[in-house]
Amino acid sequence: MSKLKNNIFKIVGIILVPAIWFALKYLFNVSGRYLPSPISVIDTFSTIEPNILIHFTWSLGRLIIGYSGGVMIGILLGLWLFKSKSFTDLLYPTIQSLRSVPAAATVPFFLLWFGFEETGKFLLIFTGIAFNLSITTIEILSIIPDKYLIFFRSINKQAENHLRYFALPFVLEKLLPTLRFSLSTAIGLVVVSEFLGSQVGLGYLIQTARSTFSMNVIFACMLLFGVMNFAIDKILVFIWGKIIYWKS
Amino acid sequence: MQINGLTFSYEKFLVFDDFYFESSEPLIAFKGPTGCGKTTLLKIISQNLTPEKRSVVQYSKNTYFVIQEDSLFPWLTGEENILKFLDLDKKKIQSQKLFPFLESFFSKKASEMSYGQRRMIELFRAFLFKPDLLLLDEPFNFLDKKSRGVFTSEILSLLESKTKVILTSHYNEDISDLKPKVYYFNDYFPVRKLSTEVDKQQ
Repeated sequence: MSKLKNNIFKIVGIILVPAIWFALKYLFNVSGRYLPSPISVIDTFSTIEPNILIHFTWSLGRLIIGYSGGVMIGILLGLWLFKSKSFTDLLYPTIQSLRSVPAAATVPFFLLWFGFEETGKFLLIFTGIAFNLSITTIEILSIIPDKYLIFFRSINKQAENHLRYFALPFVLEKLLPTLRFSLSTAIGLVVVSEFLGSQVGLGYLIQTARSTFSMNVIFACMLLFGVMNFAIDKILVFIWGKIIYWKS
Repeated sequence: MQINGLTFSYEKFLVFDDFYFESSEPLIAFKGPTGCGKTTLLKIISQNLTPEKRSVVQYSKNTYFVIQEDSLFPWLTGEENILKFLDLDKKKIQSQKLFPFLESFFSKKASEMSYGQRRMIELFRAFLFKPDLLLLDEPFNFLDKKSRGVFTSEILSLLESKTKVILTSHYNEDISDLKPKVYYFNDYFPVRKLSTEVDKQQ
């Protein structure tokens, strides 16, 4: 019985927002200037040239490359900071101040330096998430459980010198919440980078639709971003479960 | 082992006050109820806790402390837990007298082992390190009778190679074969000295 109840809640959860949308549109007749009709949104999937799914694929590709690159750079940078006290002293102030600058605000620089090139977009996403991840990484490593510290002291060695077999898995074990948060940040950065320096992608599409007030196109793009975030988040959680196999 | 004027407290709770301990026995057992300060003393001896300045503790150069809690890395196999951290080669490990006893689970991930298996790998790792002073906090937890026997004889042969051993245990039967010199903790704080069997009878 309670399982059935759970399933009902799940289904309602999925259709909740669309249901509100339909209700607003068809029961309260909200004007198309404020809220596009579901039909017109569905139409955009067939009317836009090139097809909206091509824009989707570009955005997805940028996200996957930028996100996975940023994650790797962030973790490696964090491990490096953990290993070397001098590098921490040298780089920490810069990293701390860089991460407080909203990555979106730095877009003009990337545009100036890289124009419409993909490299600029990747770098924007890298910087947007890597610094935060590196700080999280050393935060995690700043609270090593006593049992491991006692072991390292017993064998007269430093935890800092055991990155591959100790520090990396120890960090991976605790990184998932930050990774999921970074995913939404990365999606936001894909959109911003496409707003300004792109001729294809969902962000570009939103930008052009904005100037013509094509609400249906903007809605379709939002829908696709939602799907993208949902799907990648699920995949991420699944893959992470495999990576930290000892937790399952 | 010599400790003089040891004073140590957790925040405001005074655990040791002007504590004195001296023993030249190669094998010592600390006994006493849970929470009486045994583990704290082992942490001090292994320099994992720092006592107040006026304390005089004679530290050993190579002290290996096997704590009660399981401290293998769960993501590594038994073999990796040893080889990746101790400077030993595989052959050296396989030639150990204890090895056949552990072989069946030696290449399993620690996360897939039972508590007892992890405990045995931990003890094996400590023995391989050959410290001057080996501290074992409840070493026989989770071990069955047969394994206890095997590890007991291993501790005895370790003593022959000049390693000194201090252990704690709740159960007499666990350590009776080792015939350690037993020192008792009282159940009140602060601890000033430990008593021997003879003191107790008096």
